[in-house]
Amino acid sequence: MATADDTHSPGPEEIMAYLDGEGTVAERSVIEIHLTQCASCQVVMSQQRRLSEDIRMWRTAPAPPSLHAPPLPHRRIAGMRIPRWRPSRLATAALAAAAAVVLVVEANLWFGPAAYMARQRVMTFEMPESTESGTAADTAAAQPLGRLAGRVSGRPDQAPSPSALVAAPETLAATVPQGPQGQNGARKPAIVRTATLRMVAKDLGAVRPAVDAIVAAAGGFADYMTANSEPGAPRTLHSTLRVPSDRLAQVLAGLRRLGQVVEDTQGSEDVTDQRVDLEARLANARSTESRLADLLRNRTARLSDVLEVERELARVRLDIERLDAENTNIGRRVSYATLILSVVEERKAGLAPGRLSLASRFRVAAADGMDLAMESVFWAILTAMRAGPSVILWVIVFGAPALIVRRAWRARMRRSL
Amino acid sequence: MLFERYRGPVWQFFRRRTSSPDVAEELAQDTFVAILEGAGRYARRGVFRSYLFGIAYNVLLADRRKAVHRTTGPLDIEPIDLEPFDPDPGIWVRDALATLDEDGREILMLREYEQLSYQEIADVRGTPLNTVRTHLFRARMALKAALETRTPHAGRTTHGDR
Repeated sequence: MATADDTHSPGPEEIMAYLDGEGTVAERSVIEIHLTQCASCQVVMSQQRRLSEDIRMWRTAPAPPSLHAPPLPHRRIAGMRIPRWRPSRLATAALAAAAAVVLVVEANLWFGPAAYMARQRVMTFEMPESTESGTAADTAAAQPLGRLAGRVSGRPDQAPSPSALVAAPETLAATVPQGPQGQNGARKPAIVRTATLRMVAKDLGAVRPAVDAIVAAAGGFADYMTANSEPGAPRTLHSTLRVPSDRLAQVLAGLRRLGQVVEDTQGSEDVTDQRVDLEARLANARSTESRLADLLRNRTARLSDVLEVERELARVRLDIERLDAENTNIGRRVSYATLILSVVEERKAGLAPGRLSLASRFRVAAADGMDLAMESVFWAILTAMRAGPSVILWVIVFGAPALIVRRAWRARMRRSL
Repeated sequence: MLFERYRGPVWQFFRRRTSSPDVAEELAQDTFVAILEGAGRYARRGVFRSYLFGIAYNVLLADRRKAVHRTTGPLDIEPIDLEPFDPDPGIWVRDALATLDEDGREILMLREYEQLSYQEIADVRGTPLNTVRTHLFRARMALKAALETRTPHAGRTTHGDR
């Protein structure tokens, strides 16, 4: 400074900047050339250079060993690229996909097509409520079951067919085991038994012959039977079976083995009083008929009286027939329990009925699998459309606070390092 | 590793500006932690060295603000703190630096000890480039005068080559 002229160019400050490596290339070149020619500036330069050397003589002790690097597990300082805990995009995508699959599968199990089909399957179990199927209408409805009924009635040791029951009530009455036990004997209670059995079977084609065999072995018959195999719906078999009341338990046991029982109910109705009343009225009517017949045979009277007696006789006989039919009907209901059987095939039939081969089963399984997959996809899309806005809303509601908490947590973790 | 590379410079930065090695070590540690915290904000705009000392300088200022009640200044080092390693010329230089105004002293130390450029010093301190240069020149001249009055050794070295 003392050697520098205030008007001299470059001044001491510029020389200092030159020594510190400052200035553009052009500026430095100018100063460099000047320094080679100017002795006073060289002095200034030397003084400043030595001043810097003096300043740097103040040295400090080396850093103590206790100065450790901050513990940085899984972190690197190099290049200031400090990897944060952040899963890669691939891992994030994989996790998201896995979560979505789990969500879809889980929801599918609860609300999807499989559950829908299961519900539909249960709904198809709903049956007509009528358990009194011994009427002529029921008999007419049993016409499609001619094969089964014919087989049952064809056995010599079996009960007659429904048509036989209607056509010859006397014959049936004679065979009714729960009939009157004699005028003086203790009357056996007349009980009408009913049962409902709903099942799910793997193969409906195998179920039907088995049902026929079981019922036939017990001396029963099918009062009504229908099998549905509409496309796109599970095959079903609905049947009203009549089996001897004392063998109802045996038949039920045999049927339960044909599949998975989903409903098994039994009921009974005591018709003893009703039957006693009927029999008394029937006996009275027959007595009246007998007296009228005697009167007509043994007495002579006016033509008008004869005609009157014949009309009365006809009326009494009509009553007898009606009461007799009613009694026969009750007797049949007592003798033969009513069993309502409903069987639904487990899978939706896509191929020919009957026992499936292994290859067919594979085909069915593949077809069902594709259907199920497509339904799942559509269901997932619809669910996403339905639930998507809500999910986005809640992600926003909870995501922002979670992000703030995460950042705070990370900052705290860094401070604890 | 970055810590090993800058461990010494950061330590020296604080050791020259604080009164005890413990404080220097603590502040150096705080500096590295602060660097980690701000790692995500480091945008590679400049040399990492200036970024590092910028953080160190802020840590130092924060510590001074917290210790404003302290009677001793950062460079008012008691003799008991003198380390046997310190050579004698260093003692004179340190004392001479203590006589400078704070701005000039900090700029001079950033230039001479931390080897920062004028622009980097301006960035660290948040002052214009020309101000840095002017203050630096004044500080150098003041230090030169202080050394000349305090020690013949410094005067000899300063005016040597005559």
